[in-house]
Amino acid sequence: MSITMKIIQKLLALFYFLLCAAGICALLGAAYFFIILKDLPQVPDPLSRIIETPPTEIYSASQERIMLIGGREAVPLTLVSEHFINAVIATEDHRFRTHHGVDKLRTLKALYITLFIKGKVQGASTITQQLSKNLFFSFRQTYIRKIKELLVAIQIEKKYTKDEILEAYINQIPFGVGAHGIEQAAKKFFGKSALELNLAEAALLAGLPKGPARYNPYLHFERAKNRQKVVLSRLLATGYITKEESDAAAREELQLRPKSLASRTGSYFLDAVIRELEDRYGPEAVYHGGLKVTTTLEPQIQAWAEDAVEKGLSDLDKVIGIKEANKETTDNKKDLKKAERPQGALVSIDTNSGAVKAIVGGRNYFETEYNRAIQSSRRPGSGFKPFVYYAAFEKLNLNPATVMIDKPVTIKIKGAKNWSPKNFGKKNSGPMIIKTALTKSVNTIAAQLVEKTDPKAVVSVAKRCGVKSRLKPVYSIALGASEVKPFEMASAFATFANGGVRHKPFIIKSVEDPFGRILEEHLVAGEKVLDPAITYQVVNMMQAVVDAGTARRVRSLGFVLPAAGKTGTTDDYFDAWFTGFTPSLCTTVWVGYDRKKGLRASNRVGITGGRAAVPIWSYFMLKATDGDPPREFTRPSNIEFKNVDPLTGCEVDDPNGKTVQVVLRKGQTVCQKDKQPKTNVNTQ
Amino acid sequence: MSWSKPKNITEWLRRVFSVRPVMLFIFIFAALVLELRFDWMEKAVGSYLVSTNDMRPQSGAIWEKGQQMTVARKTLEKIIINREAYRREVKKAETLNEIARSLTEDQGAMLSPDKFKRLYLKLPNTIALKIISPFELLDLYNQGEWDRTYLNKAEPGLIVHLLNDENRSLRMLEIPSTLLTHMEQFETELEGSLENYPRFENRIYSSISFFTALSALPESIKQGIIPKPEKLLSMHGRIQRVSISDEVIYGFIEIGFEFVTVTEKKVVLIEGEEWAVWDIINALERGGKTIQTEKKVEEKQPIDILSTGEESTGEDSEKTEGIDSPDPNSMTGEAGEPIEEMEDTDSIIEEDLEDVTPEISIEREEGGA
Repeated sequence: MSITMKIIQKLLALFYFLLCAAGICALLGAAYFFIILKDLPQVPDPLSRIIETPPTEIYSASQERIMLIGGREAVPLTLVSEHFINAVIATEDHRFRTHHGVDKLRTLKALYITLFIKGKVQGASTITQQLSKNLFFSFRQTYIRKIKELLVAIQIEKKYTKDEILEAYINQIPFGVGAHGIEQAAKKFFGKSALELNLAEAALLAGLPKGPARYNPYLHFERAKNRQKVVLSRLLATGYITKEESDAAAREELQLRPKSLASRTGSYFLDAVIRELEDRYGPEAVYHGGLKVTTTLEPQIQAWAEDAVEKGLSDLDKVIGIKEANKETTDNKKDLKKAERPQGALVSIDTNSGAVKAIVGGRNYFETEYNRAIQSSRRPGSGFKPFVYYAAFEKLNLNPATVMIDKPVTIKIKGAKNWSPKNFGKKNSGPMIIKTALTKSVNTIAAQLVEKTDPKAVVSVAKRCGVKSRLKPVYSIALGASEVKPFEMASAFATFANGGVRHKPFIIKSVEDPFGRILEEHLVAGEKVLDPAITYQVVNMMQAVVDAGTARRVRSLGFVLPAAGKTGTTDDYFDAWFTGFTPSLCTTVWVGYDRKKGLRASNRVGITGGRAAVPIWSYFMLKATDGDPPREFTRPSNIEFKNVDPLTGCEVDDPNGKTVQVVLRKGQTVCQKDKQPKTNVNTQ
Repeated sequence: MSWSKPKNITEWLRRVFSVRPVMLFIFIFAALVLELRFDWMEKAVGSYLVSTNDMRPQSGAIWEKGQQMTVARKTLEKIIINREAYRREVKKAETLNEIARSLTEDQGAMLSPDKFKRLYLKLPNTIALKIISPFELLDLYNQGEWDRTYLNKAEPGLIVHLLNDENRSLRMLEIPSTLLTHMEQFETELEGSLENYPRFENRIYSSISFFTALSALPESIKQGIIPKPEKLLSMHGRIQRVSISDEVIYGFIEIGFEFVTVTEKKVVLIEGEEWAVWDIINALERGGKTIQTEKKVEEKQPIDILSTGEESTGEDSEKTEGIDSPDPNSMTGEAGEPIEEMEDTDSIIEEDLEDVTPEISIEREEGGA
């Protein structure tokens, strides 16, 4: 047999072999097709059903929509910029208008690259296949999933028009920063509708779905810009734009919406809202029910709160000696990760209604979602003293001019070690009136008062004011030994600010179903829980804390409105607190480390509430109350003011710089100047 | 015919290019080209899949989302249906007490100010005044801020918030459960006899005596004593005894009418105006027609049943006053039969019951007197 014949014979054998193999493959393929057919998901009809899920909309107090949960903000193709549609087609699937679900040439090319070029994997999914994957399948890469995805894509192509497919696609693709669908993306990144996007903006957005996190223009602008250029080159290559247009778009300066507005403002607040909604209605209703939720959040106040915490903690970092983050230097960032940074929390409540205006649960929501404002229980330290003084006034009928002696104190406790609290400065100052004791946050006097009053009475006052945490009725409660949450402290002090009338704090004003039917609405109803006159006495003493006491930094930072409050610092400087209020707004600030670690400056000096929390409070309150007229705390009719000597508590006829003004309730008296000073409470 | 190997190249070529292989090749080639050009396979598979779409499972992310949406809608619908049911019940309710009964701890009711006013006006004066003064209500209504009324069950009984359009409570009214019970007593007949109700123990008169005394009084006073006789007229059975309460509440005194039917005794409450009721008390005591229990009125402490069962104190005197007999001697001196005689009276009435008609018999009683 000649060589030619042998070749022909072999070629023929190969042909028949391939033919048989193709035939067998076709048969096996057909069999497999029928096997997997039963597992293939049904395609919804019409396709637009996929974007029909109504989103749960969350609104601010001023009815500005601040968040969408679930659902899609769908727009018809006619309301989308043509630049964006062209960019998506050019980048993702330039034969979209001609194929029937599969781009065979591209698939073969991708197959070749994946199989024969080492280290390279190329995808060839068409827009329809991507839609199929997003709608029905998990993101786990398997061959079976790919085949199913392809079959569903073929079905979608058969049943729906190209425009219907494209519309479904662009309304569900993720762009990052929580934006799903082009309308949301256009609003988030550029603050405009999808129809208004220009070529440069459209090209940037069309490049994001490939890697929403990788190309996030807020975090990696250069990367995003490069990706935009790739999209522009694809537009040029596919003939949608000219070279000049491409160059002009590449040169155009992109006006991204400020990051603070694009990211979720009030994320800690919104997390709290979502958690509360889930508790009440269940997760399905929240994520798929299309609720319309009106919250008490005021975005501007929330933004100020976030800024104040960020600024205050950055300042604190410097005091502690933590290097500032340098975005350009990777080493510094690593250093920063290594160095544990203190955290902070802020809660601000409208005293007249209980509406929560701002919640900040940490220094950066995107670093840690743990909400220290409402989830973290910490010891309040001296921040708890106002409850002690109120209880003493109420139960023992003491007044701010009552003289106490600051001296070493030991309280015997049955079956336990004696309790000997010390002052912050480890010194004792002798006799002083109660108002001065609170102003200077004298521990020994608070301890004497709780001993006489009984810890249960203090617990009762705190509970009446709205503290929900479990409080132990022990003597050390006077110095804030029981843990409370910042949210509770703000709510409880708001009761003082409001003359003893407690408003239940709330973050959700109303909830409606998708048809506008009301599911719930909050009623603003106050409950008188404290005596207005005693409350005024305590508030007046807390004003002195701000004006001349441990929180006087409030004044040096420029806050001039009438305000009252109390600082708190726990043992070893684990926690630094300040809760302060004007007649209309009560704000609590907590600063500390997540784990038990003391706040200490670089020179190892401990950092107090007055140093760590008061500046944050002041930064925030200066903005939040800007423009508010000075308003005094409501004065009950049955009180009177007296000027007394701070050491003797006796009335002084000619007030001078040393005298202290105190508030007395009807029937209460102070000693006259010609009489001997006396301590009204016997102490050990 | 069995296959034989071609012997030379010519035969090979002839066989290769014979009709069958060429046709097969053309067919396969055409199929491939047509597939590339017209995507017939996708179309065919697509058509088949479209035709079998309904038979396939609703699985995958989008369907799961749909199922979750269904669950969500059902959950919300259930809440709405419950609320609607409450709303309907509240709308139907004719009295505050009916609303209170329909409420649960976690479900309140929203009313318009007009509806609340209507319900308020239906309350007996003694109860209405305990809740809020009509003048204060009028003032609130006139100010134009009162937008809605919210009622919810909470300690101490029923809490009513008069709300403005921002849902802020302008006024909170507390209706203790004791008052709700009392309200119910006014709305329905009380089971049992007058002795079951401590405030009626001390001034019990036979119906003959009461109506005799009543008929002797001028018409204006009669109307003051029984301002709403319709309630009595609508009752079945015969009035056996009448008692006047020990308490004056905001200028009103309760009068209990004990009705007897074949099977049971019931007490119907009417509130008379204080000034008028005093007249009939005087008349009854002057006439010595009481079947007063053995206890002396002046020995009794006034009881304020509306104030959570505690005895009234001096501080409460402006709201609730104990009735002091204008002439205690006449009461004690002529205070009718002892309790043993009460039993006799009862036995007489038992005999009378045999010919009791279901109709009210005030006229017959009056005629008999």
